[in-house]
Order: sequence, then structure tokens, then C-alpha cells
Amino acid sequence: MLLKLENVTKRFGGLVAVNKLDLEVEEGEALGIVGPNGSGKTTLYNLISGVYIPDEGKIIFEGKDITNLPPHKRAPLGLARTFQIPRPFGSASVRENVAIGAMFGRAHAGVDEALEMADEYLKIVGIYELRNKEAKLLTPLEKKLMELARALAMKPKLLLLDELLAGMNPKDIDKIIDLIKRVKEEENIAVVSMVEHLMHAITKFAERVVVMHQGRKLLEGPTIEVLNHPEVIEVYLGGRVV
Amino acid sequence: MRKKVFVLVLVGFVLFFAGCAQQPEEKPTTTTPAATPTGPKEETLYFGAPISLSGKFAKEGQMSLWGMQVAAQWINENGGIKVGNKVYKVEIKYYDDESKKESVQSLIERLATVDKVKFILAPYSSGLTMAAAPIAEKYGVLMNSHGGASDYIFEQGYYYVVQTLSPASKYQTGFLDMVKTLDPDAKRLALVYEDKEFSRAVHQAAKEYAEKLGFEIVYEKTYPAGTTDLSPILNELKAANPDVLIGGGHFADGQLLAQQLAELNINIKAISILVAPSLPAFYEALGTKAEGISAPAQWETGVKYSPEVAEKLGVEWYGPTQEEFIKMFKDLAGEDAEPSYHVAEAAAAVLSYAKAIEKAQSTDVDRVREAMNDLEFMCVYGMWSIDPETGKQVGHDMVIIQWQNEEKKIVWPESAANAKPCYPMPTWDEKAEGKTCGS
Amino acid sequence: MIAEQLAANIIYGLLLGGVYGLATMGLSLIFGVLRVVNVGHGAFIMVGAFTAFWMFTLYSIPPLASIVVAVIVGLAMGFVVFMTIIRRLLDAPELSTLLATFGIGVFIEELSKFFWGPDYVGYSWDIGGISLPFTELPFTKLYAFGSSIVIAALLYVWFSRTKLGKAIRAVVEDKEGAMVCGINVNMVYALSFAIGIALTVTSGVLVTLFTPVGINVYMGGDYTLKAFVIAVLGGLGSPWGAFYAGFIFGLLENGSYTLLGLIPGVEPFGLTRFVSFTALLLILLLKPTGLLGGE
Repeated sequence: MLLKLENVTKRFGGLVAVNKLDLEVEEGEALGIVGPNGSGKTTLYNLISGVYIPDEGKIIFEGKDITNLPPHKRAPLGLARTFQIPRPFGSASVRENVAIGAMFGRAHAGVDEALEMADEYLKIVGIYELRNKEAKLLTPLEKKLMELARALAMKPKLLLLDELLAGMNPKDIDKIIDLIKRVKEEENIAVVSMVEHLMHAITKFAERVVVMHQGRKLLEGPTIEVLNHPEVIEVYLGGRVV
Repeated sequence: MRKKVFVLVLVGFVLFFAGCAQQPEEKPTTTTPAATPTGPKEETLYFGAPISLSGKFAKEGQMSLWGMQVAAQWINENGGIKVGNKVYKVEIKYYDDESKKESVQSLIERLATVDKVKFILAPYSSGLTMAAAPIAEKYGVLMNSHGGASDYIFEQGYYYVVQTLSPASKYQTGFLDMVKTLDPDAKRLALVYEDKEFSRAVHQAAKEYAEKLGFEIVYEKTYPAGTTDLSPILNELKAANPDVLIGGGHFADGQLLAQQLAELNINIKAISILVAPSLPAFYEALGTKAEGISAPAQWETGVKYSPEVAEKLGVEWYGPTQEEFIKMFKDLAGEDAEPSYHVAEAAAAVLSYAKAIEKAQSTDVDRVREAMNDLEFMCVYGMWSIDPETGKQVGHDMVIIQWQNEEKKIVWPESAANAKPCYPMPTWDEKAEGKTCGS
Repeated sequence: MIAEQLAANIIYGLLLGGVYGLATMGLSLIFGVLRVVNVGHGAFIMVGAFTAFWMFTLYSIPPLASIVVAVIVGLAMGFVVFMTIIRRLLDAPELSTLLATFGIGVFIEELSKFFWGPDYVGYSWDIGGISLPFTELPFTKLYAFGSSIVIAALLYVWFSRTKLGKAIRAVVEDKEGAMVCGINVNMVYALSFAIGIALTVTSGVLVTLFTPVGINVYMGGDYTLKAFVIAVLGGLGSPWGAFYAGFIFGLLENGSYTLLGLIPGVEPFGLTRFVSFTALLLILLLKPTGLLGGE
């Protein structure tokens, strides 16, 4: 078992964003997390990456209790994430951005080695030709790809993707999904992909899916089965669908 | 019933404490060791003083107080002040003014009205003296400035305010006299000084005096306080090729001026800088570069004023000799203490009061003030005589100190000097090779 | 004649500017990374000045070598101050950090006065200079200028090429993103603060190379004000901007002397402050974020 969340709860004042959540992720798995707006998905990600500390419960990564570990200590263990709205280091070059991941992630690379790794991942992701461009000048899609490359350069064992595919056109979505699947196989990364709407994409990618609703796990299981479950459809549409 | 008793006790307490609070919080005035002559009636005459025992002038205040106490002690051990068939012993009644204007003003008022003191020694610094002056004038008590050199104080028409130390306008004039005497052909004078009130007053007056003496002002520039680099001014100065330079203001810029004159290799025959060169730190910081640089001082240990010198000049001597003065000072302040010029200034003020009272043969303020108009004497501090109209000190000379052979020597006026002036100053190159003055 | 004076002024302005620039870089760095305004800035310059003084007076160590000592002293002081005080204030309202850094400055000044006294001291490192037809350039000033440039250049290379340097730049851009990438933000803060203080203390040594006298425990005050002006001019938060702005300020302070003197009836040196501040205002009107300021 790679990642285990036990009874994790996070409150913000009176609001319970994540409510007694149990979750398991296996090594090399392709997991989808799905849920409408406000269901607690983003808080869940922040709890796993360490931006938030849970009020109750435990988070265990590779058998180690990381509940209270700060984010920068989780990264070297093999945890990486992307953000829904990309957060590039704007005035650095694309290459440097990705190199940061290589230097401070699990690889702990030196500067020169990190730049080489950056080149490698930029090629994999397909934006090698942009490597010397200032990060803030990229298009939103290019920024997402750069952030993916940076996360991959951290050599993660668990990669959290936050609405990576939102706003992309269908052709790009297919390309990216294939890319992720390939890298996942090659480097044995467990990939968790969080989406709100793109059900077709999740179907293509995830073997298993967890549906969240109001901070709780509503349902969990094989993708197609879960996504067609009446309860899930009701939560999303607020009613029955013919 | 209980309540009534309680209230009575409470009222009793309040009255008791109120009564205690009425006592003035009087600092114990030092008892000056009273000589015990029998015979003529002995009375105590109080000289009042606001002293900065705390605040930014604490050091100078303490020095002034010691000076007053030394003078009072000497007077009492040497016959006191004789007026008619009375002998007065002097006692200094002082309070802490905390170096603050408001405290000074209320203390002068208190000394005049409550303590009924008629002779006041002014607080330290021109600012505080200026604040005190109108109060003394209002109550018609005499006030003697020993720490306020500003000419401005004595241009306000205060009759009852007199001055013992040299005014600002005389700070650099002695130096000009000295140079004129040593080398009448050295006519090109430059002034580079700090643009602040005191320095401006000193150098404006010096400029006027210089022109009267026949100097040619070839360069004059001011600089703001806190300047880090005087190079632009000094570069221009070099081109003006002066013989003599006066200037400065405070410690930092005085050191800077000397340092950069050396750096830019500007050779001048005589230099007098305010304040900075009078400290040992000046020579420590500049090394041989300091050789030959002069500064004006109100007083220095080692001045040659003595009863013999007074006799030669045909003036009266009053007060302790320098040896006695220093010994009495050390008895009060400790064996390791060295008297600063503040000590001598304050002592001279006390001595001048004693002399004037004896001359007037009265303790009436107006009679004493009138007696001061043509009073002239020499003491450990130097000459004393005032301008009858303004009360400004005109008899006392600033002494000129000059660094000679790693030592601070007094070179002017002749009555005070313990060394000959070194003129012209060695060049910067010569000094770099180790040449010193007066060797 | 005027041309010669002008040339001399410009040279002196540049030399002075180099020192000003380095003296301000630390302030800009600390603000850029930690968003902390170090009001006690001048006190650290003073520590550097006294370091040079004591090294020379007690051990005959030339000021250039004292730079090494100053860097060590500065890093140590920076770490201590950060760990004890600054770290707790990172999330506090701005007024708290202003008061705290002000208090630190006063504390350092008073502690220094306790050990070193209130006197004005100095030292003499007379090593000659270059004699130009229109002025003399002592080697000490040239060394100060050169050291300043070398240190700034080294720092630039360090920031762009090394792992830690890149980590600091990442934190400046996006603290949370840097955290998630594995960067220990608190360590970056501590390091940046320490480097900023080290720069400031070192600049104190250079200040004494430029002016080896008038060293006093309260000397920092004048420099703090100038540093703030230069930092704003260069764009708050950009150490390189501060460096360039230092040159401009030095040129304005000294270089404009002769030009201003041409205006009849004008006392140039009294005006240079006015000129510097006016220039600052003008530049800010044209570019409100300062010369190299970012967002």
C-alpha cells in the first residue's frame, strides 16, 4: 500500500471540508477522484501534499506516518502534485522551472544533472523547444505541460494531478492521457487524477474511482460502474436522469 | 460608628501624606567643608544652579557641578566673601534639570521665588541657557552662563544675564590672531564648515574678524551634517590655494575634513578645526596626519595661567592655582578623573560672583551687576571681564591647542601657552614620512 | 577648470555609489525574500565598520581581509536574529516587524556603546593612490569600489547558478509552489536573511575603506535613510536594482556638485540632498516600481 488515509478530518471554522475520510492508493495505480464543486477534493489534495495538517486522523505513506510532515519533507519521499491553475516560477526559464523539481524532489539532483533531467522530461512532455523561454510567457496549456514535467522530474511515487485536463481540447486530452499512461508504466508512478466534470477522460484513464460528496467518500469502485451509479448521477445533477 | 471612624482615619492619612508632599524634594546640597573662623558674623550665601544630572548633558552637568563645588570650597577655605562685617560662606543649591528646557525654566523660577536665591549659575548648553534667560530676567536674579556660548543669548537685551565662557564669535578669532602674528603674509583664508547653527555662528563671526585683520577670503563653503564625502568641496578648495583653513563642526566631520585634506594632498600652512582635534581620539584615528592641526578650546589642563602671569600682566589673580584646582577636583571626582573645560568654566563663574559681590560690598543684585561692569581678574580659567552693555564675556581668550609630537600642546595666547606654535604645518608627504611638529 | 572639477566629481560619485549600492543590497534582498523591512539596517553597517576598525587596530589585519571576517560575523548575526526574532514575525502585521527591526537596531547600537564607548574612532591605512592631474584617487577608495563590484558579481552568479540560489528565487516567486516542490522555505528565509545581513555588515567594512574616520556607534542612522531611498529607487525587493540605484545616488550626491555650483547663488552641497530626493520622486513618477522593480 502506497498511501493510506485513516479517518482524516479537516475543518475550517464551522465548515467540515473533509469528514472522516478513509482512502487507499496502491503502488502504480491509476485512481480517479471525482466530485462536484465543494466536495472537498482540493482540501484532500492539500492534506496529502502537506499544505494542510488534518485535525483528526492519520496519513501514512509507504508505512511512514506523514500526518504532521511539512510539504517540503514529503516531496523527497516521492510525492508530487500539479495545480489546477498552474504556478510557474514566472521569471525563470522553462528549463529552470523543471530543474527545480529535479533538484528538490526525490532525485536530489545537482544543478547540472537537474538541467539534464529537465531536458529529458521536457522532451517527454513535448515542449522541449520552449525550454529557454521565460515561464510567464507561456500559454495556459504550455504552462500545464511544464508543471507536469516539473512534477515528473521530482521522480514521484505518487503523482497528484489537479484538473490537469480542464480546458483542453479533446485531441490534446487523448494525447496527454496516453503520455501519462506511458510514463506511469515506465516509472511505476501511482497517479491520482482529480476531475470535476471530465468523466470521459476519467473513464479512459482510471481503473478505479472515488466519488466525494460534502467531504465524505460517497462511493468507490471500478470506474464505469461507479460513474453510472444512480446515487452519483443524482449528486451531480440533483435529480434523476432518464 | 465604624464608618465614621474609618472616614476619619482615611482623612487623617490623606492629610498626613499631603503634608509630607509639601516638602520640596530637595537634593542634599553638598556641604562644603566649612572653615571655622570665629569673629565676624558668618552667613551662608546660596548660589543656585539647575544641573543636568540626567539626560543628554549628564556628563557635562556633572563636570560643571564639580567645578562649582571646587570653587565654593576654595572660597570658603580662603576667607569666604567679606561684605562689611559679614563673612559669607558659599553653598551651591542645585537640582536636576534632566537636560530639559521645561525643567530648567521651572527650576529657575523655584530658585528665585521659593529658595530666594539671587545668584544663579546657568544650566549647561546654549539651548538650556537661552531657555533660562528670560525667567532669570523676569525675576531680577543674576544668571551667569558657564556653558552657553551662543552670542544670541546676549543680544536679547537681558540685563541680568552675564557670561563667563567665551562666546561663539570668539572661537576661531584667536587662531586668526595667532596666524597674523606668526606670518603677516599668510593672507589667503578658506572656510569649510558644517551648516549648523553653532558652526555657522562661529565662522560667520570669524569671517568678519578675518576681513578686519586683512585676510582675503578665497574660498567659503558649507556642508550639511552627516556628509560622507567632502571630496567635491575639497577639490575646489585645492584650486583656490589657501594659506589658512578654518572650519569643521563636530567630531565626525572634523575627522573627515582632516582625513580628506590628507587624501587629496591639499597642503595648507595652518588649519583650525572645531571640536574634533581636541579629543585624543583624533590623533588615534589619524596618526601623524593630525600633526600640526589646531583647535580652539575654552580651557585645557596645562594652560599657563597663574598668579605670576597675572602679576606680569598687571591684573589681579583670584582663586586656586591650577595644581590646587586639580587636586581639589580629584578629591571630589576621584583620583583617576581628569577635569574637562566644563569644570574650569563653572568654577570661574562661581569665582566671578564672589569677586563681584566683594567689589560691590553688597549682595544686592543690581549693585553686584554694576560692579561687574568694570571687574577684571584672572583665575585658573583665564581672564574674566564682560561687556557692560550685553554681559558678553570679552576678557577670556579661547586657547588654541595643537598636536605636536603626538601630544596636545597649548600654543596661544602667550599667557596660557606651554609650547610654541608649529608653523607652517608640515606637508602631508612629510607627515607620512613621520615628520612631527615641534620636534 | 570646470571640466576637470566635473570629471573629478563624477569619479568620486561613482566610487561612492559603489559603496552605497552594496550597502543597500542587503536591505533589498531581505525585503524581496521575506517581505521584512529592516529598519535597524544602519546598525549592521556600523558593526561592519567597527569590525574593520578593530581588526586593523588590534591585529593589523588590512581592511580587505576584514571582509572575510565581516561576512562570517554577518552570517552569524543574521542567523541568530532570524532564529530568535524574525522567524516569529513572518506572519505578523507589518507594524510588528518594523518595531522589532527598529528595536534590534537600537539594541545593537546600545550594546556596542556599552563595549566600545561613544567616541569617534578611525584608523589609518595609508597605501597611497593614483595621482591624476585634476585630483588624487586613494587606493583605499578604489579598493572599496572594486570589492563592491566583485561581491555583487559573485552574489549574482551564486543566485543564478547554485542550487540554493535557485531555491531562494523560487521562494520569492511562489512560496507555496516552492514548498510543494520540496524546498524548505523556512531554511530559505533564514539563509536569505543571513546573507542580507552579511552583505550589510560587509558594506560597513567598505564604508570605512572609503572614510576611515568618524566611526561611531550611532553612525548607522544616516546610512539607513539613504539606503531606504536607494532601495526604493532601485525597486524594492531587487538587490540588483539597489546596486545600480546606489551608483545613481552616489553620482547625484557628489557628481552634481559642480553642475549645481554653476547656478549663481546656489550652495551646491546643501542642495545635493534636495536634488537626490527630487530625482527619486521624478523616477518614481515615471516608473512607480523603481528602476528594476517587478510587480
